[in-house]
Amino acid sequence: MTTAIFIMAIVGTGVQAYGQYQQSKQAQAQAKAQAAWNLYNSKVAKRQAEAEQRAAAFESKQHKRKAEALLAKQRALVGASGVEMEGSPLLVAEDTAAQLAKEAVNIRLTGQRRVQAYRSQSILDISRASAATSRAAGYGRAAVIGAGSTLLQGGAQAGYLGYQMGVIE
Amino acid sequence: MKLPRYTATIAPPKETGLVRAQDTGALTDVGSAEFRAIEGAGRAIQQTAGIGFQVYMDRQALDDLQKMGEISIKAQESEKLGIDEIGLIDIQESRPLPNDPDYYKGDKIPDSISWAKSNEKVFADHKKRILDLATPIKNPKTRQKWINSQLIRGADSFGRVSRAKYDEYQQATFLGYAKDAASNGDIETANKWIDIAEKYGLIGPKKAAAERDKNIENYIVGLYRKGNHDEARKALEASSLDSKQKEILDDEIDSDERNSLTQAGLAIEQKDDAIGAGFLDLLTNKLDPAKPQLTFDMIKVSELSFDAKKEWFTLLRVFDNYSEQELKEAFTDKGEVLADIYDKIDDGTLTDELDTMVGKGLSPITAQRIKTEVREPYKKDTEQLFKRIFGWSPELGFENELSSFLYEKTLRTWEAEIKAQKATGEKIIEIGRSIARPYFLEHLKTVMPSETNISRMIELALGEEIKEVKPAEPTEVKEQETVKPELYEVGESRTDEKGQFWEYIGNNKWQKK
Repeated sequence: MTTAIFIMAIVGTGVQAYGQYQQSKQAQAQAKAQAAWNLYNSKVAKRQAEAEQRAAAFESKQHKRKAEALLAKQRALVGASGVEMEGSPLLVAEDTAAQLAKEAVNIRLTGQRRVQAYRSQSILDISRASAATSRAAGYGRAAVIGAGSTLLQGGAQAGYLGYQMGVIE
Repeated sequence: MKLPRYTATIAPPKETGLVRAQDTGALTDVGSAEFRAIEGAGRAIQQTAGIGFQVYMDRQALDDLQKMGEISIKAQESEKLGIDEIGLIDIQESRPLPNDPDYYKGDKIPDSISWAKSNEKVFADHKKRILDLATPIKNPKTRQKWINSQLIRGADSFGRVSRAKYDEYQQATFLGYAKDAASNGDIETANKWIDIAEKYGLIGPKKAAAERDKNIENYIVGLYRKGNHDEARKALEASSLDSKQKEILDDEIDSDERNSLTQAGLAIEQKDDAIGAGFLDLLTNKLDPAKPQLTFDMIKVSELSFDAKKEWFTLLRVFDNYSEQELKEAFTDKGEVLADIYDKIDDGTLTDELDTMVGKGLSPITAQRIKTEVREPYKKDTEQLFKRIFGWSPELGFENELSSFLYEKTLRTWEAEIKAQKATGEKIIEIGRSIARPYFLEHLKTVMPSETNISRMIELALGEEIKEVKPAEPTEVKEQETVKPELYEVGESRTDEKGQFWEYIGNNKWQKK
């Protein structure tokens, strides 16, 4: 009976330590996976920022083309009517050009803000990945220390049991 | 003419097509539950082992407790055995005695080493027994604790017993020396021994004071036992003993003086009888002149007492003047007188009657023969029967002639009572004891020295407390008790070894003339 109790104490300690170790290793694996996904998200955001930048540049270029076409159309209409490009026609043309310029600036700024948002997201994702990597390392150490502590404590307790019961001298 | 040109607007896509990772499961705890369960299982196993261990230890503690109860009794027996072994140690082999030249050096009697050494083997044997006894105790710590407690206890007991034994021996030795010295008249040396015993702590001041008083008592007892009664009285008077002690000792001196005189008187009487028996034979030769004759010179130079010589001078003068016929008549018993005397033998009053019967015609030769021969069977029978009653025979009692007759009378009463009651078995012994006890007690009071503890003697002889037994005394016994036998006639005089004359004043008391 005493031997059975002694063996149970040892086995129990071993199983407990194994469970603890595996739990920590599981947490480590999870943290590593989380870090990988965070890196993935940061790359997605980066790609999104690049796409936004290209879209914004294209939109700005399109706007410029539209503005030049409108101004050319205005000059053509004025010229066809025989009116000199002075006085009111000139003022209209200048006002149109100013409005188009404002619009162009607005388009550029909007595009830049969207790009900046995606870049920020990418940076945040990298930070999260870094934190998860650190956690993974911590879980790895915790696995060894936790299981080791359990083995030490359980071993000592089993030794005490064994000595008291006379299983070991 | 310039024709308007058409440029296709191919806007680059704003979306990359990539999707952010959200709730992919990476952050969800999917596997640790299993391992938590495994850890829980391990903890459960460990706790089960802990419970099993606790149960085992509780059971072991109970078993050990029970075993300890059993073996503790045996341990006490082992301790007693050790104490008995110490009791058998011969102290004189291992202890210095006062005749050792180094004995009194220092402030302490050098006994501690001796008694400690004597304990070594006893303790070693005890330890071995304790270790054997401790085997059934399962818990090693409990076992060791029990062993330690038993060994400490044993060592303490052995130490105390040894110490007490040695101290007792030493004390007895010193007090014995003191008693011997005092009894031999050296009270100074006696007190020195008491001083030493007190100095070394063997006795306390109170006992020392009592022992010094005892020295004085022993000194006085020593004096009177050597016959120096007057010196003893003087020493008693000069002593510092209290009045009660003085009174007791004074009584003892008086009693011893009386006893010594009584014993001397008895010795003289027995001697007179023995010489007289020889003279009677010579006196018979008067009928045959060819045979050796009794002469006055023979009486004169004999060791007879003064009074006996006077009696024999008178008797020889009477027989010298007898004619042959008168001599024949004197040496021939008359039939009726002889018959009378044998009746007296049966009555147990022979001694009182012998002289009277001689005057009535009983031959002195026959009287002497009766005294020396006829009574012998009675003595033997008496002795045997007393042995049967008490398992002990008062042989000393026969130093006094009269006491033997008392026994004989007792026996006759006993036999009569057995017949009357038709007693058998133990009842016979019971009757014998109840009848004989008063005679026995009376006899002891008469013949034993006054300081004898008679009650104790009776107790030892009869195997029972005399105070607890109140036998129904038969009528004959009461009569015998009320009439105390007198060994001598009042007014009768004797001389002691120093030539001092004493007069008998009755009740076994003598007075100087």
